[in-house]
Amino acid sequence: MQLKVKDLIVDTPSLFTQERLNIQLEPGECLVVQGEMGCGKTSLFNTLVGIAKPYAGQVLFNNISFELLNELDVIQLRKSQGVIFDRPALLSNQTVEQNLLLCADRFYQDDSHLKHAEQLSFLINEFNVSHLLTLRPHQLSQSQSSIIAIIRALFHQPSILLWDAALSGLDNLSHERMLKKLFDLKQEGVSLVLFSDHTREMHHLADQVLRLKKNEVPGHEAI
Amino acid sequence: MPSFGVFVIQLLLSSVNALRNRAIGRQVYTVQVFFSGFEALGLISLVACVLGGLVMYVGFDFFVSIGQAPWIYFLLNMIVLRDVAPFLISFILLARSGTAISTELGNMKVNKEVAALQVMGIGIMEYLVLPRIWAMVTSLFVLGCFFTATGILSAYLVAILILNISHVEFWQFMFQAISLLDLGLMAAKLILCGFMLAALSCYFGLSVNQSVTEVPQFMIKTVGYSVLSVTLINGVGILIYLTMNEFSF
Repeated sequence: MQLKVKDLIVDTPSLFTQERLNIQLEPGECLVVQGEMGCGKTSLFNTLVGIAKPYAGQVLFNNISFELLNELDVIQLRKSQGVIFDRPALLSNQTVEQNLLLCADRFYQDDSHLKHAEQLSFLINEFNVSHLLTLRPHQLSQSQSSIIAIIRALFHQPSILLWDAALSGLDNLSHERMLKKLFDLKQEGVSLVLFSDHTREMHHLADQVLRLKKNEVPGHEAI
Repeated sequence: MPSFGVFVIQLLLSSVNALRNRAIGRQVYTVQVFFSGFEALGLISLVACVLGGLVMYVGFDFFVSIGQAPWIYFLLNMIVLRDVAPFLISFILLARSGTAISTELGNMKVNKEVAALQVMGIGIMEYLVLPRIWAMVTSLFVLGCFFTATGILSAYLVAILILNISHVEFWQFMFQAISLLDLGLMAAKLILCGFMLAALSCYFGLSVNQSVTEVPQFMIKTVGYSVLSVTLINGVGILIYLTMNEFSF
């Protein structure tokens, strides 16, 4: 999926982007966003995923903006995106299994439910978390919660993955496994937007790097 | 967050979507009915039992002493059915469930669970708000009926066991005291109070932004505005009754 950011100003009190931000990311490319604490990474992330409105400018996915879509089209666009927040954000009153099946239950009530449940089983086995399905989020470790959040984001087989604080909160083994998964996704043509300070690993993955600094114009470079 | 008026309009519009896809909120609805309705049954029964029995026991002697024994049934109607019951049950549900809903949604907002639902394309209204509103309306209505039945039954037991009133006399006067208007007003007040309690709890819960300290602040607002709205609904209910029915025994 193509991501185009046109003349964007993020609506945040510490506006790092008084200057307008422009990004173009093609399918299968990876953009890494880096920056010090408080420079507005999460505000930019929230704007990109459409839960915060931009102060000015546009965020376009395949040349479509959230603001121009009706409710049903927004849902279609959401289904093509995988979003992972800086914390797992699992529904605390649901078990892991219920958390993972939420989308299947919501969107596929016909015969395709089984197919999607199987897709979920495949991810569960791939990440080796089948023993966690009956637990509730508070019974999981930080690393386990993060993996469940990743599986949830990958459920729809997204064509773009947006991840705030990418790879943080994972133990070493999961960290390596997830890095490999990111390479695989990229190979499959999934666009990646990773907000991360893991500079070394991200360097191999990134096609573009956006460096945000407090009260300065962001530096945007292609690799 | 939009204003409460806009929130209610969004709520009504999303009801259409929710009707198309009821499966998503069914579990939330069931859980909420269990916590708000089923778990409150014991407390409601106790209050209704004590209130109905006490009113009958204390009031009967008083009305006999002034030579107007049948008035006790009108008082019973007023307390366990038309006026006090909806008011009391609303307060019990506000204390138990309204605050719980507001706190739960506030914490979900802080933990980004609400944002996670949003980015998955799951409607906040149809998944989080509407099932809770339907559940609160259902719970309040069922609890109201239960409260009335238990209160009258308790008064009946006091009447026949302690006050030596005959079965026939009790039920004859009791049914005479209850009109269709009373039942209609009670139902309307319960439904409206349930809607307002749930809508305000959800609205203020979802108004929390990012800080945990906002959760109790918005819970206090939930309580304040809910008390106000319940009082207004019940006050208007009494005014409607007085307008439609001349108050005479």
